[in-house]
Amino acid sequence: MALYMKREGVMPEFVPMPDDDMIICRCEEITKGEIRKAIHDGMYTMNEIKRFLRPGMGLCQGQTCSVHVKKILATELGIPVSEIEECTARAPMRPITLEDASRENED
Amino acid sequence: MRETKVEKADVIVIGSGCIGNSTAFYLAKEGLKVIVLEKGQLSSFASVRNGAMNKLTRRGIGELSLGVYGAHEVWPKVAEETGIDMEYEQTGGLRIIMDEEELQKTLKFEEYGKKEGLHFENMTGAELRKRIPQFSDKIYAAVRCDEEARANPLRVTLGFYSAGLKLGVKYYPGQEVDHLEMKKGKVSAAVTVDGNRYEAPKILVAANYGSRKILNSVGVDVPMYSFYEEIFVTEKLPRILDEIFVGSYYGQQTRNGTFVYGAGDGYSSYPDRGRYPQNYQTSSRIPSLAKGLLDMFPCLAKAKIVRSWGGWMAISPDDSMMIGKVDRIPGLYLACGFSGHGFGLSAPVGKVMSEVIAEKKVGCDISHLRYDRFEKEMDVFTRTDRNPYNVNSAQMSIVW
Repeated sequence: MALYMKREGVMPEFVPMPDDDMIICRCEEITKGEIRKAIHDGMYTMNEIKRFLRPGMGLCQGQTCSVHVKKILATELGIPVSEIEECTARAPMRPITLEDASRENED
Repeated sequence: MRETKVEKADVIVIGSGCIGNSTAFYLAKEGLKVIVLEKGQLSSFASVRNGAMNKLTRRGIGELSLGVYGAHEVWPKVAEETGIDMEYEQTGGLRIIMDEEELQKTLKFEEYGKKEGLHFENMTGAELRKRIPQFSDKIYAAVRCDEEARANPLRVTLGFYSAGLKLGVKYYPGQEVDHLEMKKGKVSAAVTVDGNRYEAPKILVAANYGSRKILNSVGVDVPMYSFYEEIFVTEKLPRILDEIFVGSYYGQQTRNGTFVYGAGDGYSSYPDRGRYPQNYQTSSRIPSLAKGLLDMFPCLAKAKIVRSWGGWMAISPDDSMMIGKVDRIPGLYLACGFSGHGFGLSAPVGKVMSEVIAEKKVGCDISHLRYDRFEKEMDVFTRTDRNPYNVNSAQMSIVW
């Protein structure tokens, strides 16, 4: 359960990696290095990384990148991927136009 | 028997929202040892689910000095102090007015606001559309307030946390405080539902709605009720306007081009919010919010909503926050009942609370925001935009 992990002190110094400029979230153009840096700044859950950096907040809502973010987080924290909880799911499932959304209550 | 533990600090902060985190950061900057206790996941309630703005028009008078102090003295320095870009921009705000009655109420507020140091510009609907042509021609008038601003609540709340972590603040999620303990008339410890004891000579209760139960354990009451609002965000769109726009709703086009738009549920308050799950959402809000935004900007019909969310506010009887120290219990401080205004004032409240707790000179007047003001008759700083559902209306003297 990484969700309730205590937060005290900072992680060891951030060490850059050769593939840090790889784009992980295409919608928001966020790189692996930025995600690793955010984890070093104290973002230890999927929700925290999403909120702090915005991966998964673009048009696809994380359908592409969340699995990669999860692996990066597990590696940095040194825990199995199975212990990482998903982000909170949010409506709508697919993007919907304001026009269509506003018609929902009509016959 | 489960093993419990005891831990000590200079200050215990209960609640890791924007208020708790900003206060903890400013206290750590003063060199104090701080522990932040959070009942659920770190920083995951209203502080990261709000409308991302500092709206000041038609707020209670008591909050205005805090708003002006924040706009001039605190928010502009936050990025440098924390090392984190919180996307704070003093864009100014437009209060959108649909009829003469609304206009008169807003003009009445202006008189009070000007005295507190706010700056306004009044414009007709036509003048507004000359500046921002995409606004609907249904709009009657608008009032611009220069001090209104926006920031990214996710960056603010987690940014103060991250900056505090580097200064040695400890954050413990999953530690729900059950009650406070006193020793020789002073506050001495916060005890969690699991029996863990956190001892400190000073305790700040910043758990918003949850504060009431915690404070009741030492005989202090903070009247408030729960209120639920929902928001959605669209895809990124070409730039239409910079200012936040507000009414009974709140909207803005954020720095990256998305439109954020939210409002209250309009049906009822939720005295028993324990019945609702943490991520509760209704099915009726997105359609009515979408109608609301389209009424204002008809050109957005084809814009797509990508995400929506909801959050709980804690509304005090006069729709203003309760902050400060509890005089009769040395060491006890509170900051709660933010009535949906907490995020916009989170940095100034954190700064001021840290000054109160560290017993330093306080940057602005917060005497109107005392928690015990409801014990006396309410006066001029009282107002409400919302229906005061479960508040005795005889108690209210509504000014605007």
